[in-house]
Amino acid sequence: MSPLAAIDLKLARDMWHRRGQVLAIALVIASAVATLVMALSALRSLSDAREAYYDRQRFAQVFVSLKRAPESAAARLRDIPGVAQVETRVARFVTIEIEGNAEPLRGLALSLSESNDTALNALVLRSGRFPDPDRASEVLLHESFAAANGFGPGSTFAAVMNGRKQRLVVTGVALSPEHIYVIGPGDIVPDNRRYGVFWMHRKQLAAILNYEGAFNDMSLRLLRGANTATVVAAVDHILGPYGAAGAFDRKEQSSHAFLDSEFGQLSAMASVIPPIFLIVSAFLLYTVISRQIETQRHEIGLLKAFGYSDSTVAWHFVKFALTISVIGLVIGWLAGAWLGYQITELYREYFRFPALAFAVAPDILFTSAGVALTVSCGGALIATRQAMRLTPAVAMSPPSPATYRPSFMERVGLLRDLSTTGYMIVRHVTRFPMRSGMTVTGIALSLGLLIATVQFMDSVTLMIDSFFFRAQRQDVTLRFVEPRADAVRGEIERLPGVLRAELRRTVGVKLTHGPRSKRVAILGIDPGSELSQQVDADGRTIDLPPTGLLLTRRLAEYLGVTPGDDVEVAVLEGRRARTKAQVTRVIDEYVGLAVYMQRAALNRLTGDGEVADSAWLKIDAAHDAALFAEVKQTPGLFTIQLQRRAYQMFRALLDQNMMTMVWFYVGFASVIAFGVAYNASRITLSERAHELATLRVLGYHKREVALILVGELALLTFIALPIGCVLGYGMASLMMELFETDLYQIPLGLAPATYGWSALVIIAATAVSAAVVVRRIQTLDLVRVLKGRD
Amino acid sequence: MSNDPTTHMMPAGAPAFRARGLTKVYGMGEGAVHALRGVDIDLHEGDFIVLLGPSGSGKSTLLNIVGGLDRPTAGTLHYRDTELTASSDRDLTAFRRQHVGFIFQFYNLIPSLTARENVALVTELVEKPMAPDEALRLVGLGDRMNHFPAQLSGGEQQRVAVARAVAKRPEVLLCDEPTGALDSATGVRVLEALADVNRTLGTTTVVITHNATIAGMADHVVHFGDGRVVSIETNTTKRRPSELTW
Repeated sequence: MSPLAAIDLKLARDMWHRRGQVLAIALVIASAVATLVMALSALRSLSDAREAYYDRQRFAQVFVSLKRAPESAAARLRDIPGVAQVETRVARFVTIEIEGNAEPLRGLALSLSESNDTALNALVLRSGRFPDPDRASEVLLHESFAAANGFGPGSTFAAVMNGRKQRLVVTGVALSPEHIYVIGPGDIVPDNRRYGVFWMHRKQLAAILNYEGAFNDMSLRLLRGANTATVVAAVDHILGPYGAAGAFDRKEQSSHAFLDSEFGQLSAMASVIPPIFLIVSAFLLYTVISRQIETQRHEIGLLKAFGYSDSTVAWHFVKFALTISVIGLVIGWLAGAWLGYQITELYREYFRFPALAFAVAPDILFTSAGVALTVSCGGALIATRQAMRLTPAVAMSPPSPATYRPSFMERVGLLRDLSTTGYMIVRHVTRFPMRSGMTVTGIALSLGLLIATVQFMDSVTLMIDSFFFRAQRQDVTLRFVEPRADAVRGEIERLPGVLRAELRRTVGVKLTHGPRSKRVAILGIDPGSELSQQVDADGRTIDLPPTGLLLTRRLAEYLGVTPGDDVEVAVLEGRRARTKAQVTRVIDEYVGLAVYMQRAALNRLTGDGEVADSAWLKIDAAHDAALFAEVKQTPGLFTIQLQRRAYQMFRALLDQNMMTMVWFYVGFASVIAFGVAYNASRITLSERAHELATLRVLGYHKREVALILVGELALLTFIALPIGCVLGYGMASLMMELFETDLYQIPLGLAPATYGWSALVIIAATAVSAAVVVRRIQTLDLVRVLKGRD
Repeated sequence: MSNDPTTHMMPAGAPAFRARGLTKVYGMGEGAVHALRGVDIDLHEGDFIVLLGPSGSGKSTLLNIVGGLDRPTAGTLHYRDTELTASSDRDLTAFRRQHVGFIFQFYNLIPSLTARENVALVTELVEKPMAPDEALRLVGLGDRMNHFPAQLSGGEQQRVAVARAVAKRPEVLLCDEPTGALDSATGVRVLEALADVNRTLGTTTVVITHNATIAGMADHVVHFGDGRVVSIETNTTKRRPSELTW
C-alpha cells in the first residue's frame, strides 16, 4: 500500500469517528449552498423565462396612455430616431359582471393587433382561437382570470363598457408578456377572481368605445442602442397635446416592475444569507481541525518523523475539511435544486409565463462549489498552521499541562460563591477565549439570522397595517368615469349602506428636483379626513397643510428634498400645468411612492375647479349587495374596489407564504445553532473526557457530570443571546433596505415576541445538541482514567 | 468462610470486603483475556494492605472492582453487608461517593481548579467532610492551597490527590501506584500521608505497587500472579515510611 493510501485511510477513519461533527458542519455548508443554488437558480430561471418571453413576443420598451389621439399621430412617432416599431391600441378599464356573482369585478379591455405574428406584446394563445373580427361579442381572456373563475372557450360574461352592458363570449384563453403579473390598478395584491384582462378585436372595441380611427394607449419597441430617455421625451412632446399621461419605460411597467422587485429579493437572499452560513462553517472547521491536531499531535509527530513533509501533513487536514465541504456541497446542491423547484412552482401561481421551467445552471453549481470550498479551505488552513509548526520531537512529547488561572471576573471579586464545578465551567470558557468567542458568535449569528427573517412577518404586518389601517382605511373605493363636481357627494351619500364618503382626486404628475425626477400620482384629500391618516417618522398624525406636498420618505430621499424645498410639478393630464410646490413634510408610508396634497390645492394646481375622481367610502357591510347593485345601475360611477377584501387577501397570502418561509428559516437557523453547539460540546467533551471521568470515579453522578458540559454550553448560549438580538436587528435593517423598491418599502417592525420566539428556537437547538453529547457521558471509560495521564 | 480452604484469610477484625470467586474476562473467544481467575479474599477494616505483582497479574482489576468502577464477570463481592456485585450503576456511584477515596498514579487533578478547589470537589459531595484546608494541611500543603495543579510539583500534586481522597473521611482508600511517578523522597512524603490517614482515621487502605519496598509498611501484603492470589504475608512489625528508600 502506498503511504498516501495509508494516510487517506487514517482520514477516512478520523471522519467516521467524528461523523456527528462531520455531518453537523456539512449541514451548515449545505444550507449555504442550498440557499445560494435555490435563490440564484430561481432568479436565473425566472429572468431567463422573462427574457425569452419578451423576446419572442416582442415586449415593448416604452409605454404611454393618453386621452385620445388620431391614428395619424402614430406616424409621427415612427419618425422618432431610435424607434423600431409603434403599436397603437384602445384600452379601457371596465366593470365586469359574472352571472351569480354579485361582487363588483373589474377588468381591462384591450384591443388586439391586426396580426399577432408581428405585433408588439404579442399574445400566446393557450386554448381556443382568436376572436372573429366581425363578431362584436368575442373576446380572448387572460389565463389568470379564466383559471380563477373556471372560464374557458365558450364561457360568457358581461362587461359594462361606455355605459352599455355588453355580453361577451370567450373564444380563447391567452397570455401576454405585459401581464405576467396581473394586478388591478390601485391593488397591492393580485386578485385573479375579481380583476382580469381581456382582448377584443380593435374594430369591435373601437366601435363600442367610439374610438374609430383613434387610440388611447400605445407601446414602442426601440432599436438596439437607442436612448430610452430621449425617446420618452420625444413621445411626451408629440402626444402631450393628446392628453398623454407621460411615457415610461419598462422599469415602470407594472408587471415588469413587480418581477424586478421579486428578482431583487432573490438576489438579496443570495447575497445576505449564504455568507452567514459560510462564516460559521469556516469557524466550525477551524475548531474541529484545531482540536484534531491537538489530540493527534503524537501521530503528527510520528508522520513527520517517518518523513512526511509539513505540507503533506497540512494537506491531510485540509483534505478533511474539503471532504466535509464536498459532502455539504452535494447535500446543498440537491436541497437547493429541490427548494428552487418548489419556489418556482410557487411563482407559477403568481407569474404567468407560457413556459417556466426550473433549471440549475452549471455555472451556479460551480460558483457555489468555489465559494464553499474556498471558505472551508480557509478555515482549515488557519488551523493547520499549528500542525505545520510542530517539530517531530515536540509533537511526540505530551503537551505541557494546561495552565489555568482565576478568570477575570473572579479576580475582580465576582463569582465568589460559585460551586467548584461552576469554577470549572467559567475557567474553561475563559481559558479558550478564541474558541468560546467563536461559539458565541456562531450561536449569535444563528439567532440573528432567525430574528432577521422571522421579523419579516412583523415588518410586513406593520407595512400592511399602515396601509390598510392608516393610509387607506376605506372599505370601498368608488372610481368615477370622469372627474365630477363636488356635488356628486350627495349622490354617493344616498347610496345604500354608505356611512361616510370622502372625495378624492388623483393626478398623475412628474416631480422634478435638480437632476432627479419621478412620475408619481398626487392624491388630493380634504382636511379632516377620517379614512386616511398621514403620520411622521415618530407615528404622529400630520394635518394636511393648506398648500404644499407631503412626500413619502423614499421619494423624498430619491429626489433629494427635505421639508421646505420646492419641487417642480408637471401635471401629466388635462391642461398639463407646470408649477412649483413646496414639500411641507416627509411622511412614513410603505406602499408605493405616495404624495399627498389638499384636494382644493390640487384642483387649483390643475386648474379644474372643485372636482373629484373617486370617493372613499365607509360602508355598512349588511348592505353590500344593494350597494353593488346600485353602483352598477348608476352611470358615471365606475368601478368599485373592495379595500376590505384586499386586506383579507393580503393577510391570507402573508399567512400562507410567510409561514412557509418562517419554517424554512427556523430550519436553517436551527442547523447553524445545532451545528455550532454540537461541535462546541463535542470538543469540550473530548478535552474534558478525562476530567469528567475523574469526577465520576470520585462519586459524581452522571447527571452532575453532564451539568458541567451543559453548563458551559448554557453559559455561552446565554452570552450569545443578547448579541444575537443586536445582530438580528442589524441584519433585519440591512435586509429591509435591500428589499426596498418603489412598489413598497418594508419598515423595520421587530416585535418583542420575535426576539423571544427566536431565542427559544435557538435555545432548543442548542439543548438538543447538548442532549446528544451528554449521552456520551454514559460511555466514559472510568477504568482507563485510573491509568491515564492528564 | 473460614471453612473454605481456598480463601486467603488475614487475621484481623471484621472484613470490610469479602470477595468470592471473582472472575474477570475481557473480550471473548480466542482473544479473551482472563484478568482475574477466581479470587477469594477478605480485606479487613482498618488494615493497610499492599497488592504486589507483575503487570497483568490482576491487582488493578481487583482494585477497580473493589472500588465500584468495574464489575466482575463472575463471583460476588460484599462491602460490609452490601453485595456490590448486585448493585446498580447508580448505587455504585453512591458507594464511591460515600465510602471510597481514590488516588491514581497520574494524580488526575482537575487542572482548572486550585488545590483547595480540587479537594472541595469531593467535600461538597458528603455530609461530614474535613475542611479542604485541614485536609491539605494534613498532607503538608497548608501554604500551597491556592495554587493550580500546573503550578505544583509532581509530589505536591499527588499530595493534593491524597488530601482530596481523605477529605471526605472515607472508610476505604484505594491507591493505584500512588508513588509510581515520584522520586523516592517525594514518594515517602506521600506514603507518610497515607499511613497517617490509615492510623488516625482507621481507613482501610489498599495500595497497588510494583515497588516491593513499600510492602514493608503494610499490615498485609497480597501477592498476585496470573489473575490469582498467590500468597498473603502478614507483617509482624510494620516499618514507617521514613524508613523506606528505593
